[in-house]
Amino acid sequence: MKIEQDHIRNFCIIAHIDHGKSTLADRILEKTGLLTEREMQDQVLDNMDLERERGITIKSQAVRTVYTAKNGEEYVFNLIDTPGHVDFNYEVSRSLAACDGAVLVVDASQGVEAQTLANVYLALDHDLDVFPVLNKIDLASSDPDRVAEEIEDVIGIEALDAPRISAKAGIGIEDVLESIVLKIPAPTGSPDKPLKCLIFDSLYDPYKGVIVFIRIFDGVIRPGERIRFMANGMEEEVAEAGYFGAGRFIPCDELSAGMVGYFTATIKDVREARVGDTVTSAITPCPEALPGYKKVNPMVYCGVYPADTRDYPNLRDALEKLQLNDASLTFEPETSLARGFGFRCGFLGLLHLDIITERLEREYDLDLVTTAPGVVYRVYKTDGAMIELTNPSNLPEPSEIDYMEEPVVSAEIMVSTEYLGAIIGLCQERRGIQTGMEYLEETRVLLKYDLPLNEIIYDFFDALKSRSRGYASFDYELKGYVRSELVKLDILINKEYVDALSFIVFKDSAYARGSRMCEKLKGEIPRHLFEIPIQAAVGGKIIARETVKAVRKDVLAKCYGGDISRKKKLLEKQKEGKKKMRQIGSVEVPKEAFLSVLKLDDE
Amino acid sequence: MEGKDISIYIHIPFCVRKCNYCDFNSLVPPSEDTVFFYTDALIREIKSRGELLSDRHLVSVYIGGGTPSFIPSSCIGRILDLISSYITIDDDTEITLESNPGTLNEMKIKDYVSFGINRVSLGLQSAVEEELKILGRIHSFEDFKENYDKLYWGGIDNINVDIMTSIPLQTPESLIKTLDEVIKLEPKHISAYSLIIEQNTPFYDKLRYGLLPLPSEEESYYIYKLSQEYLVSRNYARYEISNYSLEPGCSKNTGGKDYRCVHNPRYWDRGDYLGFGVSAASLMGDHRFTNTADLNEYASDPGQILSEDLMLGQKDAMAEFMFLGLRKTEGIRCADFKECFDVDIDKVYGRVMRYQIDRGFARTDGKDEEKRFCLTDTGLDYSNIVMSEYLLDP
Repeated sequence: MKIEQDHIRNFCIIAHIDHGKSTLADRILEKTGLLTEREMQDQVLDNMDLERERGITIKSQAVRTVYTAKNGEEYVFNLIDTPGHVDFNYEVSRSLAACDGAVLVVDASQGVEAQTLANVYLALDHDLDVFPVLNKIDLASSDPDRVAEEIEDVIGIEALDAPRISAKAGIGIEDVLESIVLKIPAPTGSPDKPLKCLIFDSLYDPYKGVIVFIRIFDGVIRPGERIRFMANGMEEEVAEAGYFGAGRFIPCDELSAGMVGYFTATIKDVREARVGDTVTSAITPCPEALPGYKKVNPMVYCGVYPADTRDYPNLRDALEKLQLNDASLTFEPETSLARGFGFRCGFLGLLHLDIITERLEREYDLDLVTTAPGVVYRVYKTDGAMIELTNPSNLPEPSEIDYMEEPVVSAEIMVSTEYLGAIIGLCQERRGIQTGMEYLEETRVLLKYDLPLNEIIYDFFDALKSRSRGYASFDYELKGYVRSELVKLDILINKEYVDALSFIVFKDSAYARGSRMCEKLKGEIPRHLFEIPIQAAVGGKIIARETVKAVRKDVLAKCYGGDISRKKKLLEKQKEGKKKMRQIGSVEVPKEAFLSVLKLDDE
Repeated sequence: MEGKDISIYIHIPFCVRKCNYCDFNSLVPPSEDTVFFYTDALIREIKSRGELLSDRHLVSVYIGGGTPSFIPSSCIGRILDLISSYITIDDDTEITLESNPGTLNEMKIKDYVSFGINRVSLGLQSAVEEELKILGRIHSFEDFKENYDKLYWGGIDNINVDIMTSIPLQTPESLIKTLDEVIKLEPKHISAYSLIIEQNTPFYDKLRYGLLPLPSEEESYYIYKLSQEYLVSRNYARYEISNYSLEPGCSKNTGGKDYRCVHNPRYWDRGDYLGFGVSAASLMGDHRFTNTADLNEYASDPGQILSEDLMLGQKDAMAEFMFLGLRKTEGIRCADFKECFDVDIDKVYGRVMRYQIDRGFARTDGKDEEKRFCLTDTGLDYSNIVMSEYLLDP
């Protein structure tokens, strides 16, 4: 089939979490016949087990399908799925760069939420045409008229004629498909110009090597052609080009301007095909590269160590592979007294951290220990030098420190007036400074706060959710650095300083945080043959203490003929339990203990 | 020529009533027919495995339960009679019968003596009435004393008394009272077990609802140590974690004889033994097999339906050698390890052994061929932790 450029639609779906983005994507694929109902697996685009389990999209995914419109003509749809979470704005922005338009899904009862706004702004930044869709109209609580008005008021895009649908019940999907044809522009660009395409994602495949996801802006790409990566000047020969089927790659003869697809070459090193780079022809290169993406710096750092020190090289390999598909992940080697060799990794946020560590454990079968996550502090020394501190252990002596700065974000929180007091209270507890408050409607408020990043990376989302019964939504972006009174909180287990548990806190929070950590650790550290003091200290001064009492005896009174196998199982369990422990001095600390202190407010 | 040593265990799973802490394989038989039916099954099992006993030397028989003294003595007689048709039972063969106070009488004892039973274990647990009551025991302390005297004067003077520590309501004083009362009788052997709350017992449920007045952990540990020290100071030598025997030569009563149990150490020394009856375990060389714990299943084809049937590999056998042998206060003889496995113990366990000696959990005794390795009192207190270090990775 020859594809006319004006019959191509490259688009994505954007939405606040749980507003029904993935369900709509599935419906579109189903209606356009790419998937028969039998093939329909819930949420086709969410490939990873993790994505399906958590109901979120982490990786961008793309799929091509063909729609026969009411005018009788066939259109090729390239649907590029984007992550919905604030942590993954970087990935969103990559996917958006490959699109010409976006479908904005808004829950017809919940209305505009914080991420709705954030995603729309991102799309508009990329010059995409956005049209809204009101979803979940089958719910009794839905109020599409009100929400349409809200979209026009708050976002300023036309919404009164927005398709009113239920992706779940399959209502109104035709409307969405027609709107895609009518409202999203066809790609521009010329197949006759030199090749110019953007890498918006990539995937490592053990058989094909690196699979590069591209959007072609000009020219044509064919197998056998020599291409060049403009960032590093590397040249390769295209081995295969193709487009995206449902969950598989379909090779084709060529991809031309306006199309979305992939190519492979003999690319083995994960770092050669950087997302955001421009690919051009090696013979007739285009004069200049496409604007790359805004380089996003990690906001949250933590140490990641293999539980078994022999896994260190495997951990490095795994991180390298993950980095191929996730340029926002950074890591550098680090050693810890308690942990041995590991890496200090940088993440976009706590969810990102969570997902990466979980993927490392699941997909690469690694057993990990992570340290308390922290942000990047700026330490100004008395000698005039400034250091960027990612690891609390590297904090200079207090006498060498002139002052410190911490990163602050500007946050937008949308909440119904009912919970306004609770949320303002939360922000104050987290040292927030209110910068604005707007009534969007009578019952909904947009709160603006400057908050120290340190205060939101641990459990702010959870606290926000629980205090608003799930009705508040939240988004933030880094604002800058401000001077702050900060101290390093150390934890000592049986008088041994545990570097993995140190972190920087606001001076006035040190006591409360230290006490909670000691309490938490007391519950996690099994009793030993001796008493174990757990202490929190600031600058060598103990500010909190708990004690794990000693075991007095551990003995099986009876062991006769019939008891021996049972006894052996008991001893095996004892031995297994011990293997999972980390040795800190003479104390064995279970891995979970390190994680537990990160979640201090979970009860 | 005398054959290799073997021991026999016979399980009688019946009781007058089940105690509140008991998770053993035992039940109250619905009728006497059940008992006869079970005895028939035992007879069939012994017949089916009888050839394993030929050319062997029988060192001990242990009839345990349950409460073997609860069933008609004729049943016990039939069983021992059948065994003696496969293997010689001589005067040196220790034959122990487990019993509970209140289930013995002169007639039964006379029968037992005639069958060759020469040792009886009496489950007393406590001499304090409230403690007996809360445990759900069927007898009073008076019942115990009466049964004890009957045994003694009936011709069985090798008697073990089971007592228990960490009983709900128990105090150091009440423990001393129990010990004093028992020691007065000068039994040849005392077993002191600390109560463990097992799942699927009335105690377990009570504990969950906070209704069990157990001594605190500190008190419990104190009582446990007190029982050890008190018994040792009264000439009862601790030869295993929970077992004590009257020191030879300390009393006219011993006649200079060693009254350590012959049968139980067979388990710790990994000697061969055959277990007959429901849920009974056997070890023949490195072959361990255990009968099903389901009474109906067992009776349907006695000795053929197994819950466990495995050949121990050398690593498993080594671990067992250690964690069983170290239950004995005299520990293990290093030369025995070499003899069993044809490798120096030092090669396999040297590091662990030195580490445990350094931490005060173990020590060595003697030299060269007679060199022994054993746990200290502290090592025994933490024996689960210490012994787990002898398990070898496959």
